[in-house]
Amino acid sequence: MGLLVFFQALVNYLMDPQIMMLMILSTILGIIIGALPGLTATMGIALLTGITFGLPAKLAIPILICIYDGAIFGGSISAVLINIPGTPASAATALDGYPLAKQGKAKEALFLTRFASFLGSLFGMLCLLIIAPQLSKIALQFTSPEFTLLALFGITICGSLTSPDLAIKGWIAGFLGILVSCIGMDGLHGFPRFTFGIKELLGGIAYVPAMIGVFGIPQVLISIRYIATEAVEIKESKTSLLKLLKIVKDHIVCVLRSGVIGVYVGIIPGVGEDVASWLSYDIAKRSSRYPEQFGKGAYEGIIASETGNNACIGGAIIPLLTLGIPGSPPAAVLLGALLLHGVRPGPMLQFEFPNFIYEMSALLAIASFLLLVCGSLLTSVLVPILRKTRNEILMPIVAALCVIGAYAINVSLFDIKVMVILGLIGYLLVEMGYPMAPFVLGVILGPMIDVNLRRTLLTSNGSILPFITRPISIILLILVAFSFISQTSWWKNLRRKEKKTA
Amino acid sequence: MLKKESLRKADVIFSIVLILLGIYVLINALKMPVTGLPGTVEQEFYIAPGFLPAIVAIVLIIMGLALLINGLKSGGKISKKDIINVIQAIKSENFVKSVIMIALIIIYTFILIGRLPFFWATFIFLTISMFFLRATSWWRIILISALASLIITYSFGTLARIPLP
Repeated sequence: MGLLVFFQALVNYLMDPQIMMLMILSTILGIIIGALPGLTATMGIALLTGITFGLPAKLAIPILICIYDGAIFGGSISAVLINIPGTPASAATALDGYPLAKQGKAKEALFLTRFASFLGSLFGMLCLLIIAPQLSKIALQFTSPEFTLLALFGITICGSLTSPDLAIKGWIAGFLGILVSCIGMDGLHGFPRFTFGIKELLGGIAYVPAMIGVFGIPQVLISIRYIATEAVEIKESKTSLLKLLKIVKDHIVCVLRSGVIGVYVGIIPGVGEDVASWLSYDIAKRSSRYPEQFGKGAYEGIIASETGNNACIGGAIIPLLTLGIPGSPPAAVLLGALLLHGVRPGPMLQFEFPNFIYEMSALLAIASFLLLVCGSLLTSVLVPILRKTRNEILMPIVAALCVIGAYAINVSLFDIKVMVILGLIGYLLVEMGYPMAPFVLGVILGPMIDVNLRRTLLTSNGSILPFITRPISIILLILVAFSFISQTSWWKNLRRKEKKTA
Repeated sequence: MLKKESLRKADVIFSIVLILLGIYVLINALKMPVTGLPGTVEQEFYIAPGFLPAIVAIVLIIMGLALLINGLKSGGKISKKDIINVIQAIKSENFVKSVIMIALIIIYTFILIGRLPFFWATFIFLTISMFFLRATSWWRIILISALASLIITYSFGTLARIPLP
């Protein structure tokens, strides 16, 4: 039944010239966004959410999916050619991609990253198609206590895993996000909180301007310091297509393993493509017969990291659609976009929009193929762009796009100011080593925690028993506790001792 | 991101900001009404609007303290030498670049937009910021800025029919 709906959606999209045209254009745009250092997938989706707001959902959502898939792949092009990963998701690709390019194998490396990204996306899509409907059945058993804990778990695990410095900084960022979400009228009584008498704040901080601000403005301010690097010249490939496909076939175990890792990392709330590619790369290196070749131009390295990061997309969409908890930072922005278009992801989605999971899978499937086609056409065009585009020119334009993106959603000058203020605060936090992904998760999931926490306590007359007596609650509670404890020095010492004795 | 040594010093300063923020939020959250709200007859503290903000405030204070202690333990004490370092950092090219860019963004969003038509506000912002960043020759900067502003204004204002400021 589900498969039938999937194929129906697939055919519907393929037969609609308007949607297909937009999807092709947005895949190209996504690849360019990903390839340009300084523009990330998260920021691209945030910007495009603002820009496509005026379009109906049936056009806007395909655009965003293509941007997402394209940008995650696009990062690998600059990783290979200029040794600067276009997005953090391709950092691991640069380790072997650039050495390959320097050996004159840029074309081979780019083919492999493209093909691996394609396979990864497709694998992620399949998992979405298989796992999401099952998970949404379980999600139906979720009530207020589970949602409170799930949202809290998302924020804390994201904090632990995305922090570049101390884990506590990730949590602080997450709780600051929850605090920002408290601004405005509260969800139960409509009491104005922290509005300082400003009437525009009564409706709360709109999350799209907030997202554009904290992801866009720091990026602009940090990127203007980069100096452009020379791109490696692409030589004609001596390896035939058949041989290249054989390389992929020889590494099929690596592809499958990285796909599983990517999807798994994607499902974990808030942890995204960058972690997926590093983890895939690391495990590929450990299980390889030739680990010493990693870092010197191993095909396996680029295949692992690119399969992993694109597989993560499908994985990240699974909890997004079934639980309303985004699996990665770009998915968090996507959640904002879906809400904006009247689609409320979560357990009720299967009743409100019964075909949505299948439609999303169909879009991701089309996006994967478009990535393969557009990617091969774009590579040669992108080299001069990467050579000539300078951040000194690009970043002011990006700042202007952030402004219009924040403004367009509510046609509000106030939102521009919110975007800039949060952006500047975000910049300071980023400089001090605070990740922005948990902050955004906090802003988006804050209301979920607020309302569900109080609703649970209201029905239990103030007792916390529902949190510790319901089976799913207990599991989530343990997970939340573990995400804290696993980062303490006490736990780390314990693990070290264990390793020594073993 | 800052270097590790400066990071711990920044942690110490920021942790104090965080604790103060936590205290401010906590005081305000406790001031929020518990009874007399619409919806329910009797009110308990755990369904009051200030409940979550109060919890978040307490968490922030605790985490701020943890950050402070960790910062002080790992060499985050602030000495006279740091003031000299800060002055040196302020004079560095990168810092000046960032500050000018921040100032330009603030002027663009808080002053120009709303007073000037969107096209002109954007054109002025782009030209001046590219000029400051020494992006390319002056005529190219003007050409690129004009083109970019035109495309943005046209695609949003005319194509997407968004009433621009």
